[in-house]
Amino acid sequence: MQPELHERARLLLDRGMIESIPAEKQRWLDHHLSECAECSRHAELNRRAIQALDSFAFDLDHAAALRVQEAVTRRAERMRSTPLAVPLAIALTIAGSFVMWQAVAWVAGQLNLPNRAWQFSFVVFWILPSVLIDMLLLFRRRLRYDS
Amino acid sequence: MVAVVMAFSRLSETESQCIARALRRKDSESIGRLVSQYHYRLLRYLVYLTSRREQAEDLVQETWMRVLERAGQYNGRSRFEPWLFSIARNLAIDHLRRRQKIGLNTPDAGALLEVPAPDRHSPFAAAAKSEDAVRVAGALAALEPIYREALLLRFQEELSLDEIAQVAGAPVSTISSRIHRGLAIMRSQLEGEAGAA
Repeated sequence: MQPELHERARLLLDRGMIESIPAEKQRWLDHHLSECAECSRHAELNRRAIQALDSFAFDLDHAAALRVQEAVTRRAERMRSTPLAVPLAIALTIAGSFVMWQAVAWVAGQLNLPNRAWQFSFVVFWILPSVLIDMLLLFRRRLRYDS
Repeated sequence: MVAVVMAFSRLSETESQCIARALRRKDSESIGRLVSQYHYRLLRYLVYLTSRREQAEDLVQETWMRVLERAGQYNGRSRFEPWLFSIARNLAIDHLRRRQKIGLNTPDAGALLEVPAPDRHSPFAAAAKSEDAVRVAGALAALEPIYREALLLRFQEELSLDEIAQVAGAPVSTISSRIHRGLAIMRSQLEGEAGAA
């Protein structure tokens, strides 16, 4: 038998392991295999290699698997329970700041305080701490997710 | 009526769409089931990739955490497995990068996986449950991880060549040749053992 026929058969055999081959080529291959012991051996080795892969079984550490499952579900619960925390904190900061601004403006008017003075104080003692607290809350949440 | 329509639409959902919905909603019960269902397959993939059992165990949890973070990126239109494995693969590469202290500007991230596998304490030898598996375990451990990965994804996970290409970030032709090469090495191992016997 010509060597290129064996080469063709083995190429088809290998190709057939990972994708379908046309029916006509499959028929030719089947016929060739019925007559060629060497190529049949090649097909047999392919089959045994796949079977060997199938028979690898890694022992599972069930306690470790359970720990992973619990850690992941806990994280999912935390992520679900606080989806509105950040927008809510921002909305409360803005609304609270607006109400406080009106209140402080009224008090400052009653006390005849210079505008620049109370506005500067308001920013330093109200706006900045509020933003800082919001950022801390957000950062803490991120840290919790990453831990 | 609305409940009936919703129930019907859920019935017609594919498994992938159910997974995508559970991930988006952070449905802890469904996610717990998912973790349990895929635990072995994910661990096996990571063992094939890293050839280190302990490292694979660590990466399993990291992979699921990353899955939760990136839940919005999975739309359920394609199968879940390639998406899951590609996340696991990227994490494994990041780990190797950190371990080898290689900069992020390494030209080919996939090349990082071409670290020769340690032949001592091979997880494959421990997992071999048939005579042929014992014969090929050594060859498998010495094989470059990218070939092991291609073999596993094709023959155990039964992913299509396109899906494997998606996971590995390589052209289909490259994946095809990796599978052929991996098979050839296993075949020669079996043939050599038979010849020696």
